[in-house]
Amino acid sequence: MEQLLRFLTRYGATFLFILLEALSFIVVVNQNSFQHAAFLSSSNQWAATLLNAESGVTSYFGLEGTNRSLAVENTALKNEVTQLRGQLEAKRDSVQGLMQIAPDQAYHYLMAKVIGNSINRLQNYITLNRGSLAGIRPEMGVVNDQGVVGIVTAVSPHFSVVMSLLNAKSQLSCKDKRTQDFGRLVWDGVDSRYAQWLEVPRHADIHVGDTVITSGFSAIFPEGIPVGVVTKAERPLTSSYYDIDVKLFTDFSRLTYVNVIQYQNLEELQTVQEEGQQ
Amino acid sequence: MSGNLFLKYLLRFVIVMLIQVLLFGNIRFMGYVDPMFYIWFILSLPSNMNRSLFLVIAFVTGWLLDIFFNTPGIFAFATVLVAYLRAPLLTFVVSRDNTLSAYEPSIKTLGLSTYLKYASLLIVLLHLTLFSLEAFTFSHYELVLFKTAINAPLTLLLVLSVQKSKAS
Repeated sequence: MEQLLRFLTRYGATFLFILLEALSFIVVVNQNSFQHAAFLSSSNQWAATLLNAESGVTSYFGLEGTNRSLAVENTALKNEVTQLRGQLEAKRDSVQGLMQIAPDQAYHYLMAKVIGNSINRLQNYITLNRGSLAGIRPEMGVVNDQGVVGIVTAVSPHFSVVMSLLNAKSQLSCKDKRTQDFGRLVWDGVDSRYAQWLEVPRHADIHVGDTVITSGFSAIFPEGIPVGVVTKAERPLTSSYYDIDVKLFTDFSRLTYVNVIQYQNLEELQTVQEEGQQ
Repeated sequence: MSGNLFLKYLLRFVIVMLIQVLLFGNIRFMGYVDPMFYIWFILSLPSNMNRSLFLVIAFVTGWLLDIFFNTPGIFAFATVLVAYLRAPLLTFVVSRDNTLSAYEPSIKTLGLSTYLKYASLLIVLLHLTLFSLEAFTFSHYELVLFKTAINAPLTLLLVLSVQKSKAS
């Protein structure tokens, strides 16, 4: 007993060191399984409350830029409303109330404010001030008025964490707006303005300046949300795929307000997909 | 540790963490600038502190940062490693004729050149560990070295400037 005590006082710290390092390392290696644990992320109640208070102060600094992009979006929406109203009038005239088609209400947008954000890591996450009480669930898509932002990973009652497009683990199915060729958009961790578009076959016809949009293959994002512009499209001799860089529309260094996309039939789709795989 | 000292370090802990999370957590300049000022708190704890307690404090510090930055385990691992290697490094760099038995490692107690050796080694180790763990499953070796080369001097500068302003 005395020997044990002496041993512990001598090497206790080293044991504790090994124990703590092993614990941290296990968490690092199993990151994926801890990602959805709200208490381990910044959607944790205390952490998020602090971040929220901070964004109350710092969001004033970006007001001018935010205002400008809101004004731009306003104009675009007004234009769209006018155009749609015109189309509606035309339809009403031609059909004269004989036929009524329910508008497609599959997607619903929820507004949320960004209270935590980073772009300087390899795995960047964004914290939002809305959570499960507002209807946000993991696997929902997040966009802003510029383009795609990311996908929700963890949710607590009042806050949620979004895996940014600027995350080495993020993958987004995209297509070329002009040619409809599709591939996987990933981020290589180097520049927060550019992402890489993989697996676009070399027989496709991709040009610099092409717009890249979401493909709509999953229920996370509807089809056609803008993602970015092709800035480099090369065909390496050794590869059967293109080597493409995409300049992202979203300015991740100045995110303030975002929209979380709620897909109304998500549960139904997931049930069907699960049944289909059995 | 007397009550007064405890309060002093608790206050320092809170302030350093707030600065790290609210100020340095918000730098989005170039996407590479990411100084780890919080390590000053670990570097400045008294040299005669119980080693186990010291490790637990380092673990809690790292864990809290992991929660704020959504980096499960990464800060905890790196901070505990730095804390564990601090004692052997201190006995290595501090000259034998130093008569102080218990001291708070700083420019004032160690002298600039000794403190520089002590702080820069641990700070470089911290950044290398953090950025390597972050890149764990990816082949980003040049990025790890590049980010360390940019941020370790920045962290060292911040740690030094905090003490300069204190001494005067």
